[in-house]
Amino acid sequence: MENLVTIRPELLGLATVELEALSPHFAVLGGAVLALVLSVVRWLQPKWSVFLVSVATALLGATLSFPGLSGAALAVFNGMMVVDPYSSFFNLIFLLSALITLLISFRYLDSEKLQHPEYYVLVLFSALGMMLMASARELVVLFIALETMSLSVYSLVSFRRADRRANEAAMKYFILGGAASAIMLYGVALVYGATGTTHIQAILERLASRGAGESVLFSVGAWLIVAGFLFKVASVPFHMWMPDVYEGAPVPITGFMTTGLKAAAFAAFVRVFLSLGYGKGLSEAVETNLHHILWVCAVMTMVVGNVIALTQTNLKRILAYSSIAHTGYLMVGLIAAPRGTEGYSSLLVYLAAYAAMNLGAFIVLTLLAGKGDAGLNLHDLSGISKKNPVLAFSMAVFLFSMAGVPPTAGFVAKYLLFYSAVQAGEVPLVIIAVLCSAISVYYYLRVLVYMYMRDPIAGATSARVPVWSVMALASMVIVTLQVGLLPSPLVEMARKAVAGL
Amino acid sequence: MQVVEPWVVLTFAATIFLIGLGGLMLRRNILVILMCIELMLNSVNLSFVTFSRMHGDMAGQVSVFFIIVVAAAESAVGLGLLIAMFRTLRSVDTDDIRLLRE
Amino acid sequence: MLGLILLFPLIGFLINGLWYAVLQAPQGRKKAGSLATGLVASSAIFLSFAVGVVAFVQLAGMPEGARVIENNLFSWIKVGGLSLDFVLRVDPLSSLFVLVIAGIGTLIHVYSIGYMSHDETPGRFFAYLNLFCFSMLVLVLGGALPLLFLGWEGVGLCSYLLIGYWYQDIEKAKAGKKAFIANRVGDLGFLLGMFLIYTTFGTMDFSALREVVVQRFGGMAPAGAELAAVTGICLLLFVGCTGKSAQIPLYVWLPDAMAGPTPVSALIHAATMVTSGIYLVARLDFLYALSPTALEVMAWVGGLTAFVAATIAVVQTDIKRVLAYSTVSQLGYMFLACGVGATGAGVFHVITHAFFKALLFLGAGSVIHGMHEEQDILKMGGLKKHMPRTFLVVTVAWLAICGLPPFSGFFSKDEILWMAFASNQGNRVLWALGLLTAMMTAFYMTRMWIHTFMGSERFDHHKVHPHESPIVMVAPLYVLAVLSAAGGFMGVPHASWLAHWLEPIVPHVVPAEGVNHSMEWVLMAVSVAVALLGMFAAHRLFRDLRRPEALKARWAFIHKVLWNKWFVDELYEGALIRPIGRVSQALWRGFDVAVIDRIVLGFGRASEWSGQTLRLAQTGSLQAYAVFLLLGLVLTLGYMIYGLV
Repeated sequence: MENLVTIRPELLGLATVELEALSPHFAVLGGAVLALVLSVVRWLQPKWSVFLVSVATALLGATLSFPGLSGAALAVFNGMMVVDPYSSFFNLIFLLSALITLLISFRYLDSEKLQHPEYYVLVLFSALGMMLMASARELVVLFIALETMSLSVYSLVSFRRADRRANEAAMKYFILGGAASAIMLYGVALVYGATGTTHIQAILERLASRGAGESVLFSVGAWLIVAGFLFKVASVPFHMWMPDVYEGAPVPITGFMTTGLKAAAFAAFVRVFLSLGYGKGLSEAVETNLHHILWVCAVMTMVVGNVIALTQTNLKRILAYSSIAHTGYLMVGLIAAPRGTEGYSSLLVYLAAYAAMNLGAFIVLTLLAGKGDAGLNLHDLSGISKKNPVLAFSMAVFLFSMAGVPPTAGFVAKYLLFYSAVQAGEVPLVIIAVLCSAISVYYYLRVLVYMYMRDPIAGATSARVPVWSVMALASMVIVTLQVGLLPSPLVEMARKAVAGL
Repeated sequence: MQVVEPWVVLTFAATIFLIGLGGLMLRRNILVILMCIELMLNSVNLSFVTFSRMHGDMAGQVSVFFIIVVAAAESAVGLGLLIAMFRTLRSVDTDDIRLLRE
Repeated sequence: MLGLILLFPLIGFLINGLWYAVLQAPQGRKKAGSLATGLVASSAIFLSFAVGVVAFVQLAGMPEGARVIENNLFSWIKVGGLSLDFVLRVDPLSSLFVLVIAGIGTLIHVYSIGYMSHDETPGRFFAYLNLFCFSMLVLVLGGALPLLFLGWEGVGLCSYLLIGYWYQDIEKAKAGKKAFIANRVGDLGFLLGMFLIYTTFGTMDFSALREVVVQRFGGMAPAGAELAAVTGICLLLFVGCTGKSAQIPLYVWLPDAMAGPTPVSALIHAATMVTSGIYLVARLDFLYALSPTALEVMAWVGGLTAFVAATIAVVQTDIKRVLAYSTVSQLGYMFLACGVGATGAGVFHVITHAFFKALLFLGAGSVIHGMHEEQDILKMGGLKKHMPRTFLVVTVAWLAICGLPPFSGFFSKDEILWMAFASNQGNRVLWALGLLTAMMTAFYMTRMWIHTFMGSERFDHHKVHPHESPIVMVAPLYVLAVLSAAGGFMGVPHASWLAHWLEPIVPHVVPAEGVNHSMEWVLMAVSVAVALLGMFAAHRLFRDLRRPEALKARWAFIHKVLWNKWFVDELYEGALIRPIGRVSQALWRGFDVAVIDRIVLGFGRASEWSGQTLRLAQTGSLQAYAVFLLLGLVLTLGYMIYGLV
């Protein structure tokens, strides 16, 4: 074979600086493996040992990611991965969402009578996959990370093995997700065919030098990759799986999916996007077409998400459709980013705020859920404010944040996003987005109405809130409000993160 | 020995991809659907190899190995999900999994 | 330093407001006394007075012609070409006003401690009073028209709040509303005038405006379009003055404003707020001097108002109403003065009027307080021996308002009448009107004095026990009495310290040629004689009640017209208020409900409908989802390669 590229041995070792940069990843990997091992060590009470190890791992990983926020970009593994402030920012989001999920799952698993250890291990592996996605610079590595994350989540979705709805949800997710992954992979193959490389930087270079951007092959491949991502973030027309899957999955996992998965997909998306030449002005035709399609997708996503949410009565489905709507807003930010003042940092701020408020909302839902996730209809929420005022108040904070009411994080994020988009000239898009936000206020506040202004239904027990959950809940409320009142630190972090892109 | 033109193989791979996609939409047995997903992934593998040969770059062929591994893992998980579903539903027909709707 | 003048009452407002909100507002709280809140409020305004004195002394020490202290607090508005700073400026004119406002304000605050001691929520009262003082001080210290307007609106608001202080009584609440709305109509004129100034001269800052005007017109009168503009400005601003200073046609709110507590009437509707119109005219004296038309309008409106109000006051029986119409009448005098070019005399009358009118109101309050809220003078009488101290001070005020030397009212009123007769813009008819009004003023004030304090007691001894008011209420009265008696000496004709002090802003006007200077003394004698005539006539007539009753029967028609205030309120109601109400109703039904509500609710219904339709796509069938996915993919793919192939 011509041009046999040999493996260079010195690349197999890792320099100290690389080790330091990769420490969060190694920590999570090590912790996950340790948890896996401990799950079979019977005499150590796997339920507790695995739980503690998992929580510790998540905390450790998050702590180790902090230094990376202000460091420089460092390419590892021969440029296949990069550790920079961008990936550290996202690591924090992933590990935070994993941590919260772990904390609230403990009691949930007990009440559902499920096995604990495997659950925690899967969550950790999924988090690892997410972290790899945020750092990936090579399309195949990206695919592997994507699959790692997704396979763990497929298993988690069907964790309630005896529940038909869970099985159905998992099956739908798996099949459609598998199809989407295959489509995305085919796109990678076509791009590889057009440019001769799967490395993000190299693609960009070859587009510039060889003019491969004009070829049909590249366009088709690029769009297939984008389509795969759009599936993962549930943008119209690839969103059909989300409501069903969110409804069928266990509540903590739904929370995990809506925050971590979405953030991971966007994290990788942005990098890939930039590499395909969007915003770098490499190919007028491709860019314009892509822009138009994404524009239509964003509008449809926002409209469909918000409008259907108006008709829902199951809380999980409401949050699922609201999640679709938020994806729409994020896509507005994505479209406008290359020309906006804030660039991609508004996207990052939005994802962080979105993670905080959704995690909080799902904490509340977990605490309210009955056997088999029953009792999550609007009707069941009546009068919660009288039985459990803390829960009701926290939920109110999160709902206001999702609706974009000051002084919450959601408002700040939306404001930044829309402001940046308007600066980029995307005024019609922002107008539609704002109108949809107005629509969304209805179904968010409807929950509030049920909580505060209806009488409690007889016979419903008031849940005892365990310590872990209280801690988690309190921290989410604080984050939401704090970001709303003093957004500067977060925004600064985000700006630094995208500076290196 | 005749050299096969790359475009022939590529067309072939594309056809197989479309067959897999079509099977996904049209077949009712979930096991068959899983096989279709495998078909799609394998067609991608074929494309990778072809493109690798076209550009003379080994990266494509190496990627194939990774993709095969991932596909295997995916199948494992999928089959596990299928068995779990069968245990509760007693059927592997897609028409029977329509509980979650609207 | 100027900011401090404003800061103290503002802080007082915040403290009292918070106090009220926390301690007094919740129901069921123990009724709080007025001492603490009153002291806070009084000290706040007293501190302002102290700083005002310091400013005054500083100004006095500066050379003439450069007597300005300016404080730029912060940049307020920066929009487009308009850049406005929050500038406070004190010059001879505003320093006097500051002293009057803060000084008399302090006295009234102290008085209120006693007057409002039985009130449920004194904290609210004092908070409003402080806020009022703050707004009024902004008005006089403001260095530009928008700032003045800020204070203008502020005092209007506080007037509303304080008139309707006992809002549980619907009539009192209505009175507050009437005051606010009448003021609002005037404010429209003010705003239009302000905008016209901006478009014509390009600036709204007073000193800059003065320079622009002086530069543009030099010493010559403007003509043509420019004259029209200047006249328009002056007339529009004067409309604002008719609202705030209760002239025809917008005076109707002032008599009704007597529904508020008496200290409010004293402070706001006698001494300070109603004088804002005069302040505005004095401030823009350089502009008004350019438009003889506007001046003439002002003089006639002032003169007529003075006359008409006096006629109404003659037949009123509520002690506060008499004083209210008297205020309207005296304000007419002030505008008359400005209209004939003697703005300095107008300002002089503002100051002396503040002294004796505040004293009259506070004295009336003392009487009302002692008579257990009785306000009808026909039910009083012989209070001389029950309330001797009140009697003494009210007598001083009475003599001042009638215009007898050497009390303050004599000097100021006389100067106005002299200038009406003698100045370039003067008019003999106006002078005669003023003289007649002076006689009527003496007449009805004497009537009030007699009915209240002299004669036989017409109240039921078993039900009512009049007593003298506490020292906290009487002490301020003493101070005001001294001022009413001696305050006139600041403006002795031909040796007037006041005219000299105000020279840079309000030039001293000289009588026209052809007028004999000795006429001044003649006219002075005439006006004193006229005042004495009025007092004597009243004394003779009202000694006992049978003669007035007979007179009333004989002139029943005139009495009815005067008693009903010339039916002006009814005229407004029928010609303006009801038609506007009908138009509003029609618009509400025809447009707001039919069109706008339909659009807004329609939007909601459309969203709901589309939601219900779109959700049907979620069939639950896996393959349907896959088909949808593929369809989306194919369509978008097609579009992607559309441009390339």
